[in-house]
Amino acid sequence: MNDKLKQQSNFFSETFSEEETKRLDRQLRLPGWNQKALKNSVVVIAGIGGLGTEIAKNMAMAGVGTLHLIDLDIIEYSNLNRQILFSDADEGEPKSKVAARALKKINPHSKYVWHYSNLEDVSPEIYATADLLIAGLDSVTARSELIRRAVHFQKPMIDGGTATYYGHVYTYFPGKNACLQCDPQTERERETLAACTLVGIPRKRSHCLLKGQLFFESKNNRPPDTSVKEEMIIVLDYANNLAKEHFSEQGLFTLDEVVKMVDQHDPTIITINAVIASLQSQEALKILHHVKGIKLGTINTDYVIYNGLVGKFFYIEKPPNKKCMLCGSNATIIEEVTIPETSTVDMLLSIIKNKDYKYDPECEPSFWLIDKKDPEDIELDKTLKEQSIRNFETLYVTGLLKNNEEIDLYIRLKLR
Amino acid sequence: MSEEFEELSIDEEEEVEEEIISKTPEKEKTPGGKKISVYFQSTIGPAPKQEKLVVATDAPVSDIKYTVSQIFGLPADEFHLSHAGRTCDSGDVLEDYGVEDGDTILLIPVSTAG
Repeated sequence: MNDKLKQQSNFFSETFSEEETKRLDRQLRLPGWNQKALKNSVVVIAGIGGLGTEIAKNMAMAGVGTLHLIDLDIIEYSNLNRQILFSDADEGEPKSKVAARALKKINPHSKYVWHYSNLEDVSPEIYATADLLIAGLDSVTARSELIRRAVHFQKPMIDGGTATYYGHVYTYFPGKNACLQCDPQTERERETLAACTLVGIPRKRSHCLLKGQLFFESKNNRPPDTSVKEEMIIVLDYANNLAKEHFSEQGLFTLDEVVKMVDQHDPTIITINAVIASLQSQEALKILHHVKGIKLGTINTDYVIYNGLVGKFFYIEKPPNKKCMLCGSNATIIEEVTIPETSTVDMLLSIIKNKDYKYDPECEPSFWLIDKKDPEDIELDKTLKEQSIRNFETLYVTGLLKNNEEIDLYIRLKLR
Repeated sequence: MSEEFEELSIDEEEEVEEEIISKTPEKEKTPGGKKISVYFQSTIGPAPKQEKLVVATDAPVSDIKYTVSQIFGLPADEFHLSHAGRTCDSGDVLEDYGVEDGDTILLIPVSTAG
């Protein structure tokens, strides 16, 4: 028996302890499966909410070696209808931290690294060295942050999202299909208390509710409490008096509508959440084989929609957009520079000049650290270390010329 | 309500074809711009639904969404219009997305919650 065949054994791999092999026994029997590939994998899960906890649980149980769990939130009671890793006792604690603790109990053989942070402040090295990024995010903005890292570091990213009884799964696979910026999405518009739009006669039926809320706030100098029925009734009565007067044909508001308007959150249910998270997880397991050169099935590059009200799936092809500013042919070039962290930015610029870039005489080059939440000015005569520039950090540079044409540039720094 | 609309759309379609193909000279094109028939198909809602509608290609996406939301009985802020893998932005017009006669436009969920 040759060495290569021996290495492929799931049951006699030296990577696993006896206990771990026993625990994983049933999946080691899967055709085409390679447990070692999963054990050696590093996965970033961005957002540890409904989708993120479920995905993390699946990745941990499947034996993925290292999970980075990123979330900037703390646990609230309203998370407990669907967020599997949390319980009553954890209220107020960081989601990522509690998730890591719960996962360690579920499968102690893997490594869980928690980041109580936004996506930007996590070291760029984490994204650069991961095999796969998975999104369990709840905003378009956060998804844009993650997809830029996926495109720049050429990492597959599995996005998922839910809305009432529906959900979607979409895997960006570098070079194969559209990135999220090829087809930019806009944030859903919420009805908000913009006082200027609420002066005078309500133009929309929903404005009656907002006016009711405003009425309560003007009387009490605080927003109404959605858990106090009497307060909701005050808002309701005010809103319905207006509705009767101006929108009589459209009927009256209910108490539940008032609660949902005053405290606006996306409605979500565990079942839809679990379907979407499981689809993301199953794609993840295939991709983790794939990126290690092991063929297991085919990666679904379509945008998948699940409608839980009719129990049906829909598929949309997403070809890359050649004009995409992030991944298209006009996207900003990335130059990778390996440099000691004791070097100054001035020295860095000289390296860039060696790569056939010139300074634009009409404007000084300027730098931005685009991976940070609050970009800071970069000073030429300070070292990278002094300015806390991290490994794999990306600098955006303007004011350069190449072949006498103005050009903007990304410089990716590999520190040594 | 939707049946009524379907009848209406068939009438319109016949009119438009006559106008464009034979009778009307180019310069007297209707001020509303070119009209095409498009299939609108919902992926959301309690029952799958498809409607063939005649639309003006220079109509703003936001207007089409508003009307389609009434025809399908679905709130306009709960779906995007999607054509050939591109999500139609409310501020654009339909022809920005290269929508052609006979194409399908999907109503897809705004599924951003995690």
